[in-house]
Amino acid sequence: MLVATAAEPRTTDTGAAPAIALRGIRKVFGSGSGAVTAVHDLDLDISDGEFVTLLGPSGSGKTTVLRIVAGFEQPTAGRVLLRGRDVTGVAPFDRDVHTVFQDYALFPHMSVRRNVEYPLRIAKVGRTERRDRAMEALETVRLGPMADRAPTELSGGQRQRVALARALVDRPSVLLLDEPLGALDLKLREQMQLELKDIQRKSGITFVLVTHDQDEALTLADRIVVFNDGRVEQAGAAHEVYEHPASPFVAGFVGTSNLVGPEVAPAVLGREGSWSVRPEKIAISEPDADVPAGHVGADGTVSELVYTGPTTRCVVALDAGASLSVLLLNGGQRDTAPERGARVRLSWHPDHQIPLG
Amino acid sequence: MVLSGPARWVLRILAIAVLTFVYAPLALVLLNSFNASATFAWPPSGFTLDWWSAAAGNEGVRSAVLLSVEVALLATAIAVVLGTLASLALVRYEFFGRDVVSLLVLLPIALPGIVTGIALNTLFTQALGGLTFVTLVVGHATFCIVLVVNNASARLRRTNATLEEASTDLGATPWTTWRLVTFPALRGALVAGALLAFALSFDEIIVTTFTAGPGLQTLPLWILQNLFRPNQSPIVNVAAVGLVVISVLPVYLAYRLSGDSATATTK
Repeated sequence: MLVATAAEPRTTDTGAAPAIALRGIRKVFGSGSGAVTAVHDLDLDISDGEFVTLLGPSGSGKTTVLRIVAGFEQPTAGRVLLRGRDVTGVAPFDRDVHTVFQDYALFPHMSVRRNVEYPLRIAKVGRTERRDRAMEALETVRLGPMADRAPTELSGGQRQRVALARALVDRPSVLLLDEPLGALDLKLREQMQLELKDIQRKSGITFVLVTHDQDEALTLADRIVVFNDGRVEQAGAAHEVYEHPASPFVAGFVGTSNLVGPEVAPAVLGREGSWSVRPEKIAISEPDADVPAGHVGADGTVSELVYTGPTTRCVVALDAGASLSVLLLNGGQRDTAPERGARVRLSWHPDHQIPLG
Repeated sequence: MVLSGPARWVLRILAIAVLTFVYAPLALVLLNSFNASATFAWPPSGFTLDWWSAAAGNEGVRSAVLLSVEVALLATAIAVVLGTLASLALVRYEFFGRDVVSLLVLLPIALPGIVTGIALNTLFTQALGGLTFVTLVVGHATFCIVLVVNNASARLRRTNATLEEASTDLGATPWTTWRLVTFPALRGALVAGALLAFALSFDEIIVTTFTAGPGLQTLPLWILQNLFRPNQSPIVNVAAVGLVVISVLPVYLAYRLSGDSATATTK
């Protein structure tokens, strides 16, 4: 089903209203002195067929936004529009939006197939048709043989895929995913990330995924929306957010950041203010090597080496202060890796210095 | 914990003594209901089913059993409906005064029966026009509801609330969600609660005394009244055995049910 209908274009009209439009959304929990503002005046447009991740630490408001889109929470102020239709105040069952929950929320008293049939059953689809469509959805997530099992008999990854099949079987216009891979181990998570991306591409359904895992956000999304403290810090494509973070928070939260603080920046960079340089942008060489023309150089001592398989992270304490991580690719020249305590010279291009204000 | 040899023996003897003290009289009642001697001479002179057939033919016993069953069924039905609604409200919703309401719902089981009885009696006779069959049923429902609320609330707390959200999210109205998701999860607990409520109502005597309309005699009331009439005592024995069976069986079933469903949901 998912694949079959994928061919039909979902964006028939490029001038159409966005799949999701949030206008001035504010959410306050509690009241009086105990009131907590979870979301501050949020404006966000998500286009049809887009894969967006909401990235942020826990308590940053990203899950609240997701629940407001689903209809589980009512915004204190602002409006929610789905394809131009104002659904603020509309119950979740009247919204063309489905959610994949963090704990999957599979109905324990129904078989896997009955779980997947559920939205079709609600929509009063005939018995044979809903069985066929459920089986098709289960085939897409490669769980056809598990159809008659109970959810409790499945592994975490399989439950995850059942939840996905159940949420996609009646083709909602938007799928919301609340930390869907959080409970899976690393290998499975990486595999599921690829599957999710594949399913999203083939189905053309708008995906909005909440995560606190920056790797996941970078891997999956067409666009990343970085949340902090109830506000959007930055929204943009993965490489934009990573290479050009709009704020110190984004620089620190997305990727490893090497902070060059204001007290050492003049000495190291010859500039005022706070800066960050990504570890993989820094070259490491012998202490007497030449710094390439136009590059910034700094000398220091290797204080720590962390071997992680494909890469080695090398922490260098600069003579001028500050400590920078350098990422070395373990490409077969292990001998060239410095040793702890060795003197080294670091260099990078000034373009890679990210101003943090 | 490791106990010394003598300590273990003392504890064993104590345990046996306590259990004997509790169950020997019950066993005696059971044996005497089959004892051929009308004066219950010991050892029993022979086995007879006379008392059982006499009890079955006794108009007083029959109408008392019937009344007890009616009252227990009705009180249980009221308790299941109201108790289910109450536990949904108490567990799934937050509202002002929730803890107070929760306490007030559960309090009747802790209140001395005589207090509940007198209070209800005053209310019924002075404000609502006297005691009837209905007041008896309502009186029983006040404590029956506690068992339903306790069982249903415990199950609701264990049942993931996101299941209900997921159902709503997939297009189900609140009523459909109740029908297809919440109720199936709650069913075992409701049956267990209903069985316990039935058992409690069936052998209740204190509140019954204060709320039963004139001429209404439940089985426990009948037993109490006939207990000291020597010529009735063989039948009283039979009635007592019947009462024990009808009260203990639901409790056993409820225990089995909640045990089974507990493992099913935590598996």
